[in-house]
Amino acid sequence: MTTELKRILLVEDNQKDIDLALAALAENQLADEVVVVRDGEQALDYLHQRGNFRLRARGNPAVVLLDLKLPRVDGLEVLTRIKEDPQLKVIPVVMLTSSREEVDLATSYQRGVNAYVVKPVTFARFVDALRELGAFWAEINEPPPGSIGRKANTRA
Amino acid sequence: MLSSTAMIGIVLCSATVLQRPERGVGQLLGSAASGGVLARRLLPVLVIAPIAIAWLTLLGVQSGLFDAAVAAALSVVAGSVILVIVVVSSARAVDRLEAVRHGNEAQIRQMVQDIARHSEDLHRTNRELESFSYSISHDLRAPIRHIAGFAELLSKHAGERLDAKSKNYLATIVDSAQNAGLLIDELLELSRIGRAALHTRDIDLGEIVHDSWNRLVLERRGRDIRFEAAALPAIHADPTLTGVVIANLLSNAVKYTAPRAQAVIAVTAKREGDLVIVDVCDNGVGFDMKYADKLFGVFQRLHGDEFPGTGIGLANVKRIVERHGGRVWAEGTLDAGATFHVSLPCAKEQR
Repeated sequence: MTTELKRILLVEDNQKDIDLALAALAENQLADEVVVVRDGEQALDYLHQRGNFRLRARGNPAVVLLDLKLPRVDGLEVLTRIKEDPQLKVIPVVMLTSSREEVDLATSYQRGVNAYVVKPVTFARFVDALRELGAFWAEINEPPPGSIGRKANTRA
Repeated sequence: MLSSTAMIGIVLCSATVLQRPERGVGQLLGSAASGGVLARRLLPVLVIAPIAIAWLTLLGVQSGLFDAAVAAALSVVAGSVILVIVVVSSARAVDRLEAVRHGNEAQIRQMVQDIARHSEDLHRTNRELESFSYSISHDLRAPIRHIAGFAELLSKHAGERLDAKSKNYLATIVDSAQNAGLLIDELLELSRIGRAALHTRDIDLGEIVHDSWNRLVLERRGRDIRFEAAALPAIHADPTLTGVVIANLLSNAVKYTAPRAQAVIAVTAKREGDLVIVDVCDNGVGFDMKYADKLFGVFQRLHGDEFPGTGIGLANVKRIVERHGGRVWAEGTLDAGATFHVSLPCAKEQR
């Protein structure tokens, strides 16, 4: 298990989606900035520095890319827990999901998501989407105090 | 003298009662309920029987058939017999009425149960449909995205080593996956439109037509199209869904006039009763009228690859218009253009 703190936390259970996301992030020179966890429980463990992640470097990632459908604790639940936690709620959360369903969109925004991105079918557009996300949340956006910024990015 | 005064009194009273059949005793006499049946059977007997009995016994006494004491006894017996007969027959009539009413009540209960069951079925089907489209949205898009994504990655990684044919195959895979993704999105849209609540209000049709036309900028690129939109009336409809209807009709008109050096697309509208009939007319490739009924079906296409499309657009148009209580139809001539008509409710302000 990783002990690093990186700028992007990708929460995704599907290996193919992980591969695609990493390839798309690599196209945008962001592959080194990602920690991948496979379910909601691990995501919360990572953010709270507990369980497998109790030894990781302190601080928050600059952005969480969160899939909606996850085993055990699903994306909406993770979102709710992040936004209810005084220490974690400042972290920008981006829903990155297959679903165009209005109910998912509405629920996500009600629970305080910062952006909602439907994964495009074509890889080229997925690369574009991740470039924009990476550019905005991990590079342009000034992260809240306590999270890892561009300049403060030190590898453990 | 006395009896004629009494008769006049009875006639007057009856006339007074019958003059106002909608209230009081009149209403009771006219009622179809058991009370009315009883009143109609008993009252005439109670009036006529004593008079008839008195008259008959009087005749008997006068003609010397029997004396006054026998007459009195006879009239009591006759009165009792008539009463018994009338009461029994009235009771039967009331029983018959009750039986019919019980039958009706049972029928109504059955109908209410049937309706409740159908409505429960509908709700269940709707919920199933919702979860079906939800899981399509989540689960079917993912593998399609993977096919497209990895095929693109493959062509990127192995691109240099692949021959033209292999590159072509990969391009076809990507293209097909994209089409599948588009199909899924449009099908979901169709099912969403069928379920979404209508938010109708008075809206300016002209504004919607011009907005939709302006949004077709990509489709119109490089084309010479004369667009004519007459002064259009206000309608009473859901603005978003009406936008979908108009956008579909206009984008079809743009698509099917592609072979024309000078395309002409015209939107006109006329009032017909409480409806506004909108006509979208083009000078494009048209269609054979014998396939007119297939135009608005899901996945029904009258053209092949030369005009790309999923065959869902007009099905969407039909569904939206019919949900507004309107109608869609079309006229066309092969190679000489088509006109699509939709009827939508006119603005409430102008009814």
